[in-house]
Amino acid sequence: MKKSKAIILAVSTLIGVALLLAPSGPSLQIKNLGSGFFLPFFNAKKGIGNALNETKQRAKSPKELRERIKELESQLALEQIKAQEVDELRRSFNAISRLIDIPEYSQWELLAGQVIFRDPVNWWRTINIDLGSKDKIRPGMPVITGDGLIGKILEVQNGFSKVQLIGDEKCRVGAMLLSGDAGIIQINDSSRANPLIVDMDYLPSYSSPKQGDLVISSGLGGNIPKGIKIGQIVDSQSIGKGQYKQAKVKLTVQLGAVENVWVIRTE
Amino acid sequence: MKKFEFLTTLLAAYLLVCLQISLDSLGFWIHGYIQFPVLAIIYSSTRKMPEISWIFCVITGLWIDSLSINPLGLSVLTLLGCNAISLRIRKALIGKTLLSDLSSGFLMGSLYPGLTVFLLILFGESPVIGWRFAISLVLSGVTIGFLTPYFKNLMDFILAQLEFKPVAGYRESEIREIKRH
Repeated sequence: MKKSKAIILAVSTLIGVALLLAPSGPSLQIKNLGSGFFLPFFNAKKGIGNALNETKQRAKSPKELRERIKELESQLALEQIKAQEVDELRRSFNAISRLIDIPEYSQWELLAGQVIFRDPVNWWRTINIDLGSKDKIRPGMPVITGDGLIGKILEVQNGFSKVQLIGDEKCRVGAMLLSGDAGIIQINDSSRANPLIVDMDYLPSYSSPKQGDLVISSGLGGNIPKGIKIGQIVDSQSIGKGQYKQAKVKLTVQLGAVENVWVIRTE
Repeated sequence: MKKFEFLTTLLAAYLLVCLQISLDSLGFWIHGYIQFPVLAIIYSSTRKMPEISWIFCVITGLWIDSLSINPLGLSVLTLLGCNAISLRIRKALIGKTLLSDLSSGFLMGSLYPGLTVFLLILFGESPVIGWRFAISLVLSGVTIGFLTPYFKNLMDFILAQLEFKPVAGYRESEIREIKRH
């Protein structure tokens, strides 16, 4: 091997080792710098997607469009009625909470975003959305879709943020059944194969989760508000000598098909 | 190394990473990405361009780690490892038979994710791997195996169009070896 080649190999290896051992602050800055090269690509991809969608819309016949508008108008009317009902419930709740001195209900501040790409390696469950540091979002903020919770913000970069999906090793979420029994959503070895199944651990031994029971966020131990849909119970079993119960939960959101998301801005 | 070669390496690395992240939905469902940078490593080792391939490994690894939640530098080391192995088995890679392309592609395609996950576990991370990961290794290997000859032809064509002649680096004995195969 020539001397120059040996030097290049040694320098390349040293760069790799130095980066791996670098502290998290500089490491994140280098990541920011590296991912910045791909912002034009993401913007171009998004632009092409939007143009294609518009072309698809224009290709539809006027009759088809009129029917779709009618359908959306009736859906909107229904949603407005539901919103009035929710407003009324919120007013009543706040009135009662003032009487018994508990915190009032505060409305979620939602920020709409779009998925721009998924992690380029397949051993992490993360997606990247087009909201970055300029949108004032921070790590730990919950990310939802219309169907329920999908995960939380992990890293915020210049033009995009990484979202750790439920089912990733490091994404643990406080959850509860409608009966009030609380546990933790995480992933165990038996659930790693299926990206739509997660485990709900540490349910009280007296709880009796049944197939089809709804699982929602408990609001405990983190930024995730209480009451966001997570999934439905598929199966449950006792762990140890009846120390606690563990349930398998099927997520309500099809994580592989997520396109539009909302970040809940929390304190 | 010429500036032109360096710029071509940068562009190839960028395009391959873009291609990999564009096929993200497919990767989620089959639980396996096609590791496109590995194709470039195989190609560069057959063309006797070690300096270029090492620089390619550093740049591509950095970009992949920037876009993923891998610890920064992990993919650099893995790609360098794959490159070192592909340079070792270079004679098998330049066999120019379909079988040699398939087998080397399969080896490198499954080695890269396997090595990365091994390093992740070594560094105390917990990647989400189940039985599907074994399938994804095989899938990645088979796909890279099938894509290797096409990628070689495509790159030869592009480089010929750009009048970039890396083949000139061959020794007489190596050309005889290739002809014998």
